[in-house]
Amino acid sequence: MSMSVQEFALSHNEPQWLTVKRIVANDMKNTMRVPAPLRKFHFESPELNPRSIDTQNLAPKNLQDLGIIMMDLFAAANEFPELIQENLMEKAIYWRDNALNANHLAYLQSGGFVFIPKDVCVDESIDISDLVDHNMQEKHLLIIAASGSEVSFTYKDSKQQPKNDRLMIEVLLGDHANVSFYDAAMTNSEKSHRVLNAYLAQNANLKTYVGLFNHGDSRYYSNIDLDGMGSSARINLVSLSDQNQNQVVQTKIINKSPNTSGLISQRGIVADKSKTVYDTTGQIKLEASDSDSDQISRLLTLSPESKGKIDPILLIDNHDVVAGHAASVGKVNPEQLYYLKTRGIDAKTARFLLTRGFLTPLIEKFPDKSVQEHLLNNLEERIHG
Amino acid sequence: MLKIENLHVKINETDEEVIKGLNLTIPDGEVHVIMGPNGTGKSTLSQTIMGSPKYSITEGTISFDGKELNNMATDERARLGLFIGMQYPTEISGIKNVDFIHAAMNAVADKPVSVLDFMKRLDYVMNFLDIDESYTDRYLNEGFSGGEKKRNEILQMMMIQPNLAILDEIDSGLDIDALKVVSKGINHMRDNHFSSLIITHYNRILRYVKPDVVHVMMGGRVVTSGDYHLAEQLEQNGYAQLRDQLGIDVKLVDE
Repeated sequence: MSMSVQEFALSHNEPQWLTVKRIVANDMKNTMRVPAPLRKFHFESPELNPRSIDTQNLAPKNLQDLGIIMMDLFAAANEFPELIQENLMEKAIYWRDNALNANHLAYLQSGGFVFIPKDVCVDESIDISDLVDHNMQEKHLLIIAASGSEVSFTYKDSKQQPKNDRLMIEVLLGDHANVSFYDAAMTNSEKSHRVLNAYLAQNANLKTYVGLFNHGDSRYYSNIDLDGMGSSARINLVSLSDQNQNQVVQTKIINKSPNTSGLISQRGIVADKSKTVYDTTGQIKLEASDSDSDQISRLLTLSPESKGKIDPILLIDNHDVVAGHAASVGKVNPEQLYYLKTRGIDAKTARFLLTRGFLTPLIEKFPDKSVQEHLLNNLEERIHG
Repeated sequence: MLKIENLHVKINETDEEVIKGLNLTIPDGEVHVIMGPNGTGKSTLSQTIMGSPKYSITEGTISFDGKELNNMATDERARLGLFIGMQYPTEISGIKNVDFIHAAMNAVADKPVSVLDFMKRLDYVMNFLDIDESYTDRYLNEGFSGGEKKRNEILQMMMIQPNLAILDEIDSGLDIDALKVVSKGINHMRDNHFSSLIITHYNRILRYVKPDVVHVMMGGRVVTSGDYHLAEQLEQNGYAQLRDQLGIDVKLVDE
């Protein structure tokens, strides 16, 4: 039996401020609009069923010793209200932005909270995949990296996925924080919606590495705010679509302060009858002097029916900056194909090698070897098979 | 044995006939050289033997070891033992040299070449050709200098061990040291089962690789053949004089 938002919140023993926020969001969502591109991902609200909440710090022992917190979001809301109340869907992803965000907050089923204390550095990547229940539709991760911290995170989808899948990730970086985020998006859901928004304080540095290898229709959205002076962000994304998939990637980096730097690199393979759209924006605000914004997007179409489209956008208010974009949509290069064939490699294998080679330079930048292999294996199964 | 009879070839893009009734036979174990002025169809010939989709045979036949190549796919020809060292080797980002060569060897061999055997041989050949260690993990020809690319072609030849290697201006753009290394590679391959067709503008490389036969191509045909001395003679007197001597009516591009 499905519960109401209020009953669900009570069953979790959520703090009252969060319950109230959820109820308000639920009430207000009907007065909010759903932007046109999001309509396909405005899922029906999921059934809410009671779940047991683990209230422990789930970080491995060695990370706990450094003061790192990895917790169920609902448990953390009780324990660290001061960190969560003002940040959860208030800064990086704002719940009032649209009906879909409000509904996500109201019906949030599973969430994780990660806190990295000041000046803590961790060499190995921290796997945060298990902080959320992958079977749930509405999932959320809130990550706070305090000033001077230096960490990287890995998130991998599991095989079990709901029909509709949504994960919203908020990453907040304090002054001089240095964060890398590796994301292997590989759901089998009919529709997948991923959001990663980040907010950077002074001299903070964020690099995201995203492999968008979902099997169903998907939408990846990332909006990075370079709010602090001297902050910088890099988005590195590789994507694969095949069969009848529809894929939209919308990435945006906003330079809001002086000396900020944003770079978006994206490469995708579009096979069979699938369609991929890259909608890429670099925005430099008037205050952001001495800044740079660049984007490089390339799509490789493998069949006459596959469609690739790139919309590069630069919005420049300050002219004391360096900005550029490069975009191309093309097929396998016949000269390269011929070269491989002259060495005895058959046409099918040659095409596969070139297709994989198209993504390899970007996948090799993913410092996490297991993610690299994960992506390359999936690519081989789907393209070579 | 490579046998070409009355070959006519056109460039698909322009429909222009560039090879006009060419005959050529290269028996196993022999190194033949084709020299000739610019624009005479030397590169077209080499690419046609390999089956480049840019050219079409309109008449005549090419056969190798008794098998007709005319309608055979490029990769099939390679598996038959043909190899081409390109004038302008293609750069391919994302494919490492080492992976490429291993894939090529596996494609051509009857059974897969083990990683250990492969690495041993690669090590030996790289040493032989004086190629830097960092080479293996670099992407295929990407950012290579002209000389490095040509050396890479020779390395591939030595790894794949074809029966016939067509080397298209393998000597152009090489300094003396690189030319010596490339020549050393070709000479190392020479035996009863290996033959080669070297296409060149200059007889420079012939100081290091002694050819069995020298052919001169003009106007899309082989107009005369001889031994090493023919190349020397050409070097001294030039193509125009030879043409007039033979009474051929072709216009030289650079005239």
